[in-house]
Amino acid sequence: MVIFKKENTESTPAVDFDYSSKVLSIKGVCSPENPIAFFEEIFTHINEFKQQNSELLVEFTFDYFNTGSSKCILNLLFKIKSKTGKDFNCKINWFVLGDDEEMRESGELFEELSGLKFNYLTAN
Amino acid sequence: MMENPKIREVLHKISVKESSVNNLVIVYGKMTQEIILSTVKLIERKLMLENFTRGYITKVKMIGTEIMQNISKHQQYSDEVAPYFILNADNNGLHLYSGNLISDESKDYLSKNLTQYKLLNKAELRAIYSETFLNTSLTKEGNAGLGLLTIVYKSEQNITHDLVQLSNGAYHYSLEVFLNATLNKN
Repeated sequence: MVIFKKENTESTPAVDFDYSSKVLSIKGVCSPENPIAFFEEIFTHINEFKQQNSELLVEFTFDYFNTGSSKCILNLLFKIKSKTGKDFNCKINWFVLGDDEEMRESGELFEELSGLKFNYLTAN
Repeated sequence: MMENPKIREVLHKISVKESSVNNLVIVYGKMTQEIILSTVKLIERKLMLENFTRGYITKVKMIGTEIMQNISKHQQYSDEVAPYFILNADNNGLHLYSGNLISDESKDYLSKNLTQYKLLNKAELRAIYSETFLNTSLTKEGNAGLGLLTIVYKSEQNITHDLVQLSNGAYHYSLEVFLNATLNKN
């Protein structure tokens, strides 16, 4: 059983990817100086996971992110969506802290650009 | 280190404005990732105390981060003149002032793009923002203009900028971003 975990820092979110429960959770501030380095490991795990599984729940709960990270989040969504030769079902839960309209709008832009369906939920 | 030639002008401007009530944050000097993260935390605390909505605070944090991380990326050009970042409140909203030295190449890029973005209508700006978001290639050095475009887009084009050549030949870039808060207080 593979579990990929990263603790949150001042500039990066907590990541919890449990292959057995088929849930990837990313939560917190996402503003690293080098977002590519931060997301690389997640991309590797997504590719590996998709080889062996047919479904995934992704849960995003962001406080805020920088534009470099926003591009990486979009790339992550494209990786999740990309065809692997077999059916792969993905559900995206986009959590918004309270009434954060700005973060909701960011989710809507990711939804539009990625072509994936998002569920919008409120986190406290 | 030379004194930043614009900092006095900006401080004078924000101190004499009739409606000026608050200079919430002033950062002057070398910008590091630690300073940026601490400043964003400070901004959040101050704006919560001022009763701004959560969405408005997130927008300020995201734009502020972009401005300060851009300054940080150009740090090598700021050895002689210190950069600054100021968050100032008035009755209508928040003003984010910043200034730093940039390269000749960056000067041409900023001048061309900021002028172009300001001429676009809302739908055109949205289209360019989406297209750039989709097609930009991210590198370790930067995000190929997505940061600047994000600032323009999220501020609804409420930006003014100035580029001044200094005696040493370098360019000083100053930016003012205004975020209307009319409907963004609890």
